[in-house]
Amino acid sequence: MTSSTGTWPATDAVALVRVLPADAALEVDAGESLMAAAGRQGWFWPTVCGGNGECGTCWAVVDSGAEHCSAMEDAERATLRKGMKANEPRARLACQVRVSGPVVVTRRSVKAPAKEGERA
Amino acid sequence: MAVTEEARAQAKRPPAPTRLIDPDRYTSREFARLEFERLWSRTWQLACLDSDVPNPGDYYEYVVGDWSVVIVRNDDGELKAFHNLCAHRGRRIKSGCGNAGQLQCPYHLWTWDLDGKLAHVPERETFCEFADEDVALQPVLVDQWQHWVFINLDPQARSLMDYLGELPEILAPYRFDRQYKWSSRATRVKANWKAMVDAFNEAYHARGIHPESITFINYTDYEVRLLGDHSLMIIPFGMPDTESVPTVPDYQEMMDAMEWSFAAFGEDTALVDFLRRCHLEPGQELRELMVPLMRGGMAQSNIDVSALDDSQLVDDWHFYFFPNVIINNFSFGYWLFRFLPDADDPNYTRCDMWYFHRVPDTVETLPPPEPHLVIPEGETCGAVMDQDLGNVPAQQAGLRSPAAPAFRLSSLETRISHMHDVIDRYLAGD
Repeated sequence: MTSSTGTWPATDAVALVRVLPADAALEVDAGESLMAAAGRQGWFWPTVCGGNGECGTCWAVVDSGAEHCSAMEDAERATLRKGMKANEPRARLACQVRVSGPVVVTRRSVKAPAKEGERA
Repeated sequence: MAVTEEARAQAKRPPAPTRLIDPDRYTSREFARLEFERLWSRTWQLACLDSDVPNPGDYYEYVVGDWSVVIVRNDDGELKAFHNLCAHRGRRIKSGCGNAGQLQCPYHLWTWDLDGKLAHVPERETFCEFADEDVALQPVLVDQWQHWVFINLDPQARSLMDYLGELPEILAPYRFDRQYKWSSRATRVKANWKAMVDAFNEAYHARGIHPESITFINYTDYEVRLLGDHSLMIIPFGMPDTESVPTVPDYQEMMDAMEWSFAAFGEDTALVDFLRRCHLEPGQELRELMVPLMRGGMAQSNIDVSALDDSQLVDDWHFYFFPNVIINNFSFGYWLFRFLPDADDPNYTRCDMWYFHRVPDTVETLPPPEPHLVIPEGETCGAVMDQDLGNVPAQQAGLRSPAAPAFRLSSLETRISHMHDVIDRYLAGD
């Protein structure tokens, strides 16, 4: 466990992902994508394609714990290469990446869910 | 709520086309042959800029299909255009651009003056007698609107201004006469010319292909106007896409995306630098910050944009000049895309990318255009263009499949069916 995630509470979930700067603490099940886990736990994660790895809108920058992230498939790499994070080697697609241990990522657009009747 | 939304969209756009589009129109050699025979032979087409031929003797070769036209500036400063074809044995006389006192075929050195009149035939006495007029260069209609030089291969064609219809009036406030070409590139793309036009003539694809810009461009709520053979869509900038952005975008990420998108076209990003120092109040749209910043910035640069309303100042007024010219038109300049069909293969297009800027009103003479750059197929033309240039060949590949169905279009894509309607009119000989 790296220093930035060292104080993370123990949990039964397979992996814990911290999303900055919103400081979302997400429990990610085995085989579940980071974006799906965020949605399940009520967090907004930007996407256009809905999680098919096509649009690249869900990119996140992995600050630490990259070793706990699934290997990147060619399709994810191809999508990232077309977009504005093409030159960011730490970028991953949240809809594609699976995690097996603590990870910290940055994605400013990730937000807590809007309350009833309000635009987030 | 849904009814209101629908009514609003319908009011701003013609209804969704009922027509299905046959993929053969994009892939068939026979269809391409008909287009050359009945469309390209009869329509006005943008050949070059007057700044490509500024001085007497300057020439510029324009090629479409098997036609080659040489545009020249004669000694009186007038534009002339001729079939670029030696009256002796048919060789193309000039290629590319340059300056020459006369037009001379390199093969046997037959020579014409800049008005197309025969000037010299070496060893003329070895031919049977012929009149000079019989071997004059064949004229092609040429005319000019703003800095754009058009040709028409049909000697009976309607006038250029008739063809342009409402466009000159709508575009007048943008002062194209005060814009110069600061970048000129071309590449070859493996797609039919119409597939390229289509990809620029709707903003529906932007969510999938250009998703970086959804936080500051509304790709859903845009207006479409059909203008004779041509068309216009007005894409709102400075507001998020209605459909794909359910929350207020993160301001810093929106600025990063805006900077990336404009830099991808080589544009100055000073506006983003200014916007980064601002913040949005709850309920405020980015465009409300953009209007005063852009007006102030333009004024500081000595560019009078008082003739532009706020939409013209901020939004992309996106024009289609039938058949093959698109402009993404902004207050500060425009991006022009010209798609030329390949002479031999309907699966290929030459894609020209010309970028223009308004110059300060204090500058009397426009700078000369930047040299033309040819980019090999597949090499980068800028990140956003690359998204399109990577996308459309995959569509072309699909359209070539024997399983490709006729395709349907939404009201966001009406300009595509409209283009096909106009093409059909030409093909029918109307």
